[in-house]
Amino acid sequence: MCIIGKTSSTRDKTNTSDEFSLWLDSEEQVNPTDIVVTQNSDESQSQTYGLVTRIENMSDSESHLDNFVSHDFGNPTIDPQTQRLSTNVARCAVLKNTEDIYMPVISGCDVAFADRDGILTALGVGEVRDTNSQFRELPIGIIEQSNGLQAPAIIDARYLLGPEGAHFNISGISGLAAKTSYAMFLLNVLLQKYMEDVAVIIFNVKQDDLLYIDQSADQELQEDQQKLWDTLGMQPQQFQNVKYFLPRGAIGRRRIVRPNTFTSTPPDHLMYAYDLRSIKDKLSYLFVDVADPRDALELLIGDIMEDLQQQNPRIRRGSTNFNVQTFVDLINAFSGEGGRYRGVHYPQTMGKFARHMRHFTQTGTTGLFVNNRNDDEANLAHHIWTIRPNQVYVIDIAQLKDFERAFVVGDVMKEVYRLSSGEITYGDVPQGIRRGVWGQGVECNLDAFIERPKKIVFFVDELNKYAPSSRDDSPILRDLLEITERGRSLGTILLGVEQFASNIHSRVFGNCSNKVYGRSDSTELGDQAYRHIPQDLKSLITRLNQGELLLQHPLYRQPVQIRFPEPVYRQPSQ
Amino acid sequence: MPNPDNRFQQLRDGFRNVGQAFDKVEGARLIPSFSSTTEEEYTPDPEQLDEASRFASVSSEETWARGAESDFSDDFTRDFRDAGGSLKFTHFVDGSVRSVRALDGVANNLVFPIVIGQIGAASVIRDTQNKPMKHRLETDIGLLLPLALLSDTLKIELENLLEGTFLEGKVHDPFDHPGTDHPDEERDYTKLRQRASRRAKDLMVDIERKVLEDCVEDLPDETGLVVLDGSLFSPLKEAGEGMPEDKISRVIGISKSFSMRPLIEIEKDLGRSDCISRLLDLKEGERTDAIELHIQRDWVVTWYQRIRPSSRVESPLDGIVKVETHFADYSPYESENEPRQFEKDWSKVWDEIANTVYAERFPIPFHEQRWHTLLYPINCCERLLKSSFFSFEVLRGLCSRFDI
Repeated sequence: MCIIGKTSSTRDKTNTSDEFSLWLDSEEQVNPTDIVVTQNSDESQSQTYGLVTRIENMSDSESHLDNFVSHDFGNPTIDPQTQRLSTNVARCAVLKNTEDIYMPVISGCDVAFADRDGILTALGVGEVRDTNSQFRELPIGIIEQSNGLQAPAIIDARYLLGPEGAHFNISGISGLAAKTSYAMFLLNVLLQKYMEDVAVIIFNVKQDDLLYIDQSADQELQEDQQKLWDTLGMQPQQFQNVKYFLPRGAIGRRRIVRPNTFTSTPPDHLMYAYDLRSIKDKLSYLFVDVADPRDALELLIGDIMEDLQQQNPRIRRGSTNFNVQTFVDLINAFSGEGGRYRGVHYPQTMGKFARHMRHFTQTGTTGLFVNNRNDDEANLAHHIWTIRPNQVYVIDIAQLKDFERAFVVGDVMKEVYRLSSGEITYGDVPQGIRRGVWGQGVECNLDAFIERPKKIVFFVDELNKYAPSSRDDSPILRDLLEITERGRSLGTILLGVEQFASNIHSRVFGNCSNKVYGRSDSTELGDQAYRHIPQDLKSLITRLNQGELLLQHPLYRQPVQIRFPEPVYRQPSQ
Repeated sequence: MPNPDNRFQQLRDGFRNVGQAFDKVEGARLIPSFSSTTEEEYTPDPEQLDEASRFASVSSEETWARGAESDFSDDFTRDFRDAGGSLKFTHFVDGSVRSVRALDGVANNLVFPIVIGQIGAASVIRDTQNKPMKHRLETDIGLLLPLALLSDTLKIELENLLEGTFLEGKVHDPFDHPGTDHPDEERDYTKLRQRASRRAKDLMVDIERKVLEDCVEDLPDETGLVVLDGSLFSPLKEAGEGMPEDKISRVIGISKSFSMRPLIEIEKDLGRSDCISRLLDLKEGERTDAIELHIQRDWVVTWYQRIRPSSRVESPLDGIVKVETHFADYSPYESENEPRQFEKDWSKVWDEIANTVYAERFPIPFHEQRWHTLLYPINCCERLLKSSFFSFEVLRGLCSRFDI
């Protein structure tokens, strides 16, 4: 044990069951979130682990006035013969006592950096790992001590994938926090570790960043990066078994339809689009951002969706039944008076619906919404239903308009939730897709519910757009709340990312068992969403470098600082 | 240094044996009466007390002063800030006493205090970055009780019961102080207590002298000097065996406070009547003329110098330190009336030392009462010592747990 200092307790700054101080050898350096261990002098010879939360330099000067006077009453050019006595004192939050003795650490005990095993003990993971056979190890970052020691930040995956807890949230300033890179790293190790159980759905929201994740990076892996992977005990490998879904674009020259994506050299993909038949129960997702202060529109949409889901969708207008098969049919059904809805819904509401539908599906769409899907244009729902373990879906929404993005995300969440809830049978899946997934020779019981992967993780960037703190209700928010509140038992896991956790609905954020904070500003950290983080660690968050994050996990007694390897897949835009 | 925890245990065990010794003797007993009195907390200042006591203990014929400047100034003051030179202070030494009245003893129809004296001396040097660091730290604990006034029976019991304990050889008689009155004449409780504190101070001076000698031995070269907090007369004489000439020669004594008694002596011997008023008028960076001050067979060359501007301090004497030297190659006057010529420009040497003292005026331990005259490295010594002493609370606990 290399001693770096001694514990210290004074009249004014006492050691408590929760905190202790130590003065540091003048040659030693520590940083906030370093984990240290003290050798107690009690009979049990127990050790107490502490997380450094603050480091102060103390001198014997009792006030700034002392220092002013000491420079010849304010002469900054004076250079005293003797430098003042000063020492660095670290304040630590108690993480763990090896004998569960939480008497305050007394003054004068030896203090050293914790070693690899000590770090796990300190975090509370070691004990669970050693005593609970259900423990599911998952290294999700590297803890780096100031003495150069690197140790994996291991969590219990039961708190990520259920049943003990679920979901993961990442927040931080764009660019500096490296949120997407970390999310992709997390998914990578998750798939490597639990490929038999886990399937992943990713939304690509920025250029073509995530459209080549099954291709290796252009640059060779650096030695320091390899070391990080070695410490994690994982392989630096790109994603395997990836399926890309690109949105349908507008009709181009020669009436050729191309995917609406940033890249001109897209990977092998399926192009997806929506017609009325495929969204008849999700019409409300289109209207998420349409002002509806009296809920009149929502009530109308509810009635319309009910009608559309009948065997032969039709809407009566006066004495006429309108056969509604396409978006055009739907809009036309509202071009005159309200028919069946007269006296139930306001004409203005119906007009508003028609105007917005026209915008969403005709004038304002990028080509995603069509009256009739071609055979080569996929219905995303069918593919969501057939996702298999160790499979990764990348759904590109980068070029879509905001209302289209919201719709796609809502659609996927809905279908994942329906799949997880056991609502989908093999018979619901078109035969071609069914055979492609389960093989030609396999005849499924079409009435049986689809055996889905045990865990489906979907990665939603810009979560604040779908679960904003400013709204109490929306169709997508309702689904998100359902997933975050029941997901851990259903095996539906949300990996949400946003700039500001304060912008996320408190119930969605609160239900995330695991949280990671990248660099954020102090204004943001003043929000209630961060109230559980000690003030000293909040200050640390404001100065985190790119790739440095603060990790909070239910088993950890305090948040710890981690870093992670750079992406190992191809990123053309980088 | 023994483990403080063990030392506490040993002290407590030894103390218990003292109690047993009193129990064994008819008519002898102990009374709890803990109080914390430290010599350093006396008013007036202990250095003033020491100086006054030093003059009081000798006859006026044994005390005399002569000028020690190659060229004596007209107005008794001079500016030293242009002095160059290569002398430097490398070691700083201070001693300290923390004494408490632990108990009262009753024996032989006499009530007397039993004092625990924590004594020690420390030296501080500067590292390459000029940060203070410990050089030596010597501490001890003594039990002070007036053995001379106790019955032989009690003394024998004490001797027997303390044999082999931590306190063996650490029981000191305040009447061992040289020059004291006959013990039989001293039965006044307050004076007994003062004597105990005085004796503790003597014991401290012994340790301080040892630390001083270590420092002198560790001086890097001929230009290095040791600074002692207080008067050079202490290591020269007061603790019995004085320091060897060659060693004391490398020590500069700097007193934070002083009595006017030497100045009165100086005025008388130099035939001036303005020394004290000139002292009060000293400006920052000025010193008085150096004086050779003799007390019995010991001598020092001394001067007063201002290290803080008078405008920044409360009292006219604040910010003035008394500096003492005892250079081996300086030939002091043999007698009061001896005419002499200096073979060396000693004024230049005193200026150089004064300038070196002046350079130590920063940083200022502003939170200390005597900040205006306390040099920072000396303050570090004091804190080093005090941090190694048992606190009053610990000693009070020790006495309260003592089974009387």
